[in-house]
Amino acid sequence: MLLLYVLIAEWLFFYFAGTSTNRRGIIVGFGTWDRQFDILRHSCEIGLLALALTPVIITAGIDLSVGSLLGLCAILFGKLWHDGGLPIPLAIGLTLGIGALAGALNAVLITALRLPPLIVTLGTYSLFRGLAEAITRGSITYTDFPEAFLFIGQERWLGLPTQAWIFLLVALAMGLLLHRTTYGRAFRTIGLAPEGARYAGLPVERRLALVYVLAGLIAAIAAIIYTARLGQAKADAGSGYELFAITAVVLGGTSIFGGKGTIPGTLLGVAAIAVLKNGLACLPVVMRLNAAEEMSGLFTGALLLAALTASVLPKILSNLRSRRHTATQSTSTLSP
Amino acid sequence: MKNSLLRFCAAGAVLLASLLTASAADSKLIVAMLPKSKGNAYFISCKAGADKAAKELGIQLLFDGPTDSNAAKQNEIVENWITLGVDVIAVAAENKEGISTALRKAQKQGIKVLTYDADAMADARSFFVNQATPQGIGQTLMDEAARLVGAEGEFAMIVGSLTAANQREWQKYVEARLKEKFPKMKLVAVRPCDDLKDKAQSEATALLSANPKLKLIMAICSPGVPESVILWNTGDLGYLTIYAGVALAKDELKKGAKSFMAGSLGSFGIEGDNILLGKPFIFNQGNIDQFDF
Repeated sequence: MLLLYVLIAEWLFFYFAGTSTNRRGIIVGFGTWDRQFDILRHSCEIGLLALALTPVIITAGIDLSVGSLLGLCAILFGKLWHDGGLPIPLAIGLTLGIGALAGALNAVLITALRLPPLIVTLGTYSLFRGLAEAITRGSITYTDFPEAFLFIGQERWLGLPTQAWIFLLVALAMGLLLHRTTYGRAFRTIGLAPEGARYAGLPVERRLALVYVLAGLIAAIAAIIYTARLGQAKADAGSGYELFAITAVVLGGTSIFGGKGTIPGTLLGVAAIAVLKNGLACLPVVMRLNAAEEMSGLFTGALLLAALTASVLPKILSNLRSRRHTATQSTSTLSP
Repeated sequence: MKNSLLRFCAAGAVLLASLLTASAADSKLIVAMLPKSKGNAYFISCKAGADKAAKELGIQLLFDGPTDSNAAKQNEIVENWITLGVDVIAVAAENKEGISTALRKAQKQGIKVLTYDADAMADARSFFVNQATPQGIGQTLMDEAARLVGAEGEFAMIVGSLTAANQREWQKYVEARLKEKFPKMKLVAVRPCDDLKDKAQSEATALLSANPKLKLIMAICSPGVPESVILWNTGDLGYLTIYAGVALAKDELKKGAKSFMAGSLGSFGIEGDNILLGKPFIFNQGNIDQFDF
């Protein structure tokens, strides 16, 4: 709940500090609909990765490869369409399949070989990006996509940026999976106590495999949206996105030790980061310093640390209070 | 308790915001300039020239870009400027087609767009401030390389990135000149440095160990470590870009113009929609100290 207040405060702050009237008398900056839609548009890809990572982190795992997989899928999609001559819908379908397959590779290494997810996905993080760079030899960029495809990333449909609908749909699906099915409960149980889950008869390996395959699939969806938004597929697509996504998930209250976390929390985390990043760029001070990029990094870090501290603060305070309470009690028994 | 917390947060935010906006009222013309990467010495010296022009013209200059040569971030920065309602956007494009979608959107909103250093698609901008024609650059580069090694032996190239359209163009003309004039020279490798200094150095070392007969490395990216390079005056490029941008915003520079006056630098020729900075300029150990990169 604290995060919701932070988000509201953040939004109000930027609304008042980041909106102005320009030379031509037009209202510009944060308080415009265009800007709000831009925020939504820019948060779709990292938002999708954050949705993919929420169940992964709930099972006490991690997937560092999703950003690299986004790059690989973008390149393969471009190649299938441009060099393979496939129609766009077929190329999209195949790309989603490849994403799921790449997720399955993570899943097999983690569940069958019992390797730690951190190490496995650190490996595939380099592997997927390396593949993307090797396929394009670092130099090919796929562009000139048809208008109808760019519509997904650059236009609006029913009032919202087109890709926002895809993002909301995936968010709804993940929300239902995590909060309305036994799968979600299984993920949390595995995160809290994997051995206990196994003794309770849960198919731990199959459930774990599912979260990594889903992560791969969603990374592929993000790759399609990314390509449509920029109108280009290049090997560096999505580099560093995994870290922003993890930040959003943790900010949204998912425990990095597993067992705890929600989809609405993750959505709030994504929004808090996106509003912060876009809002900072609207501040006159930041504009004059020409440092929007650096400031957003700095403040995102500060926000994460502050939120983490705030989340453990009540516990520490109550611990202190109860200790003092017992201390006064013991002295009172002594005094009379 | 929760309600009071919420109210406290909101009040704090609004108060802070009003303090900040008090100093923000500014009715100057705003020109936003986007480099390929902002920590790059080449673009820093561009900015020095741009700053000078901005001061002379009394405009506000925004100079922001990715910290690495990242095409996606370039688009996000341009989209940010569109909603900030700047008057002019001047771009050195990392990816020609990619950036053009954002630039067309800016034009639709009434923002004047021009490119410098590396062009976008022709329909996505009004003018391109061209530092030198690719043919001129390619020929001068190749001639200078041949002069240094006595027109024979193996050489290699280090380019900024293999995707940058302008550098591919130069490479094409270097190769054309090579074929035509210097049959005893051989181009053995072309490597990218991604506009990073340490990458340029490691690529140079790798090239030397892989090709022991290598006599020369032609580095056409700014962090290269050359003995003699051919460039143009980057400060002037920034200066000219700002003057052209402001003239465009004030409707003083229109399509079909044949020449253009840029402050203390005087007159520049225009070919079609290209504003020409001039002939390539050869930097060497003799004159490099006059320039502050």
